[in-house]
Amino acid sequence: MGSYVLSRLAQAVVVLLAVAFITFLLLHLSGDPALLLMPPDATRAQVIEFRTQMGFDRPFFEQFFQFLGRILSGDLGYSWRFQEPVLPLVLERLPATALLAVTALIFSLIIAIPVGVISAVKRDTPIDNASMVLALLGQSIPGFWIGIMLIFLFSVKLGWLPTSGWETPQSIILPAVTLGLALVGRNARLVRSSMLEVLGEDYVKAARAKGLSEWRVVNHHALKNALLPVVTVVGLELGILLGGTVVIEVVFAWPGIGMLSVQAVTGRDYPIVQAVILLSAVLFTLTNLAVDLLYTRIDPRIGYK
Amino acid sequence: MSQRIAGPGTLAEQTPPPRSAGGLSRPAEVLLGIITSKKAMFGILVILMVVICAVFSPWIAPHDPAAQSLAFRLAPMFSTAPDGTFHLLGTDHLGRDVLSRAIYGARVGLIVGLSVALIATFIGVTIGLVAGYFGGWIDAVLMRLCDVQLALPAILLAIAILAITGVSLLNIVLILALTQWVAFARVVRSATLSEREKEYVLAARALGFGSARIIYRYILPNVFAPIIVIATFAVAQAIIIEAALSFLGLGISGATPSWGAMLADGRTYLAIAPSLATIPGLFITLSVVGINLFGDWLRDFLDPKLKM
Repeated sequence: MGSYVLSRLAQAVVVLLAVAFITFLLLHLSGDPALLLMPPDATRAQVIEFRTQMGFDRPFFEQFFQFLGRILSGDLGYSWRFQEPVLPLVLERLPATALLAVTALIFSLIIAIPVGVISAVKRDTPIDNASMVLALLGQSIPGFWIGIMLIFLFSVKLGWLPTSGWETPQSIILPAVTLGLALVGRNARLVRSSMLEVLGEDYVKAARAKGLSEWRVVNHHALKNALLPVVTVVGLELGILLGGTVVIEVVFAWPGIGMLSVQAVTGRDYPIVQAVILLSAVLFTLTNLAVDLLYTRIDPRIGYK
Repeated sequence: MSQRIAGPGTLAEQTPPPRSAGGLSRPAEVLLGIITSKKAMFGILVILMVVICAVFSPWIAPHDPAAQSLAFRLAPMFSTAPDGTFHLLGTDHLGRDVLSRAIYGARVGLIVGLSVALIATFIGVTIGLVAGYFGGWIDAVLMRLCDVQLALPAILLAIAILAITGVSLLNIVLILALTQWVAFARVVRSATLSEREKEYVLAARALGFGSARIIYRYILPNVFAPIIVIATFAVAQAIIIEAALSFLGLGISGATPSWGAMLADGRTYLAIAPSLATIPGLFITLSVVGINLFGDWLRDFLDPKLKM
């Protein structure tokens, strides 16, 4: 068990080091990181001074280790557009993204769990087929298009909800529903397949043989175990959402890290982009690690495999 | 799927393709499967429509997609311009015919979707085969590479790289392929892990065949079924991401219209001309639904055990 935890921790460290390297490499794609990091109106002398100051004239790997040292001490660079260090700027926007991600995930599970369970219980009936086609639709429709259509219907036509921003509590409804709908399909299919597997297990047959009602068999015996694999996927989804709500944030002008990074790309404010990519990867890796470790608590057999 | 036991030119290669219990050859079985499944038929029909739109757009599109008519901007559906030209789906903010642009838009979607799936398949399958066959530290390194790729936010990374390197069709395809290969690598690795222990691989090793030959001649054909299924979903996924990039202003610009860019333009006129955002979205959705339905059917058909 202990060695499993240690090996997972070591893997996470390796992944994070590689992510840091790729993030570092990103600035070198243009050939001259100094040019990329300076404002477009910077003079040649300023660029040369900045290049020396940041060590961009040093050997490549020496630069990488300097970069690594800086990020480990919490220095993710300086935004020339906002005229402040990048880390507090990104952390300030992170709660908005996290709130959106968690709300969307909860919304998706509220729909996906009953749909998945009903589909599995009513396997190969028209209800199952219809649910699975709807699930496939949910996975196929681009989120940004659903978002625009929801804005048109609920904001432009009916005037019930705000079109963008996050000034009122209702502001989160449309972006969270948009983001959640894309997850409903995948989660419903996962719950269904996991439920089908569990419904064939001996303990479920035994529960039925004892004469328990179908509702009790499904809810008390099958569902609890069927949801175990869902925990892993939901954890992964949360990790992905923390760095992957970019397009939805732009559609709804949601002030999270996705919106911040698109603005930064447009304004050539690359230290912000670099920081968001790094932070998203760290959050994903840590969430993944936490889910894996949590899973060993839920199902101790995992740690010994 | 049947296992190939011998190499090229040997007895196994000279035997005719396997037949099902009903006596049908494999291609006939696939065709019959498609015809008898509503899901597969719908998927194939949609895919055919998209391919026809993409290949024959100059002949199908009623107007030049780039021709502007500022005097006839934001015309609704079923409208006729003062010069007598008919616009079935109306015109956009520059007076361009929406239907013609949507038909031409299939080109970018299809080119990007197919190219990304092809490159991602090549990268992912190679990594999966090598990791699964050799195992040990090679496997560990390659699987960490997968973890790194999964940890990086795909769209954000694509936006950043495109902004730095510049937007071009080639850059978009390469960047999207780099974000799509992991699914192939993981599935192929796990399939290879089980294949490498089978007797035909042990026999090939005993005959002194090299690793590359065993991997590509013997193992690859036996792990091919899931690859086709994932490739189908990868095409759909690439179409959506390309549209998202165009929507964010980082898609292919110029004369070739793209569905994502049409959607982004249409969003500005949502209150006065909602069809401008609705129509390209419908084209994207229909294409992706068609491809996903076909992929879904293909998965069930090739391996009923995978049916979810």
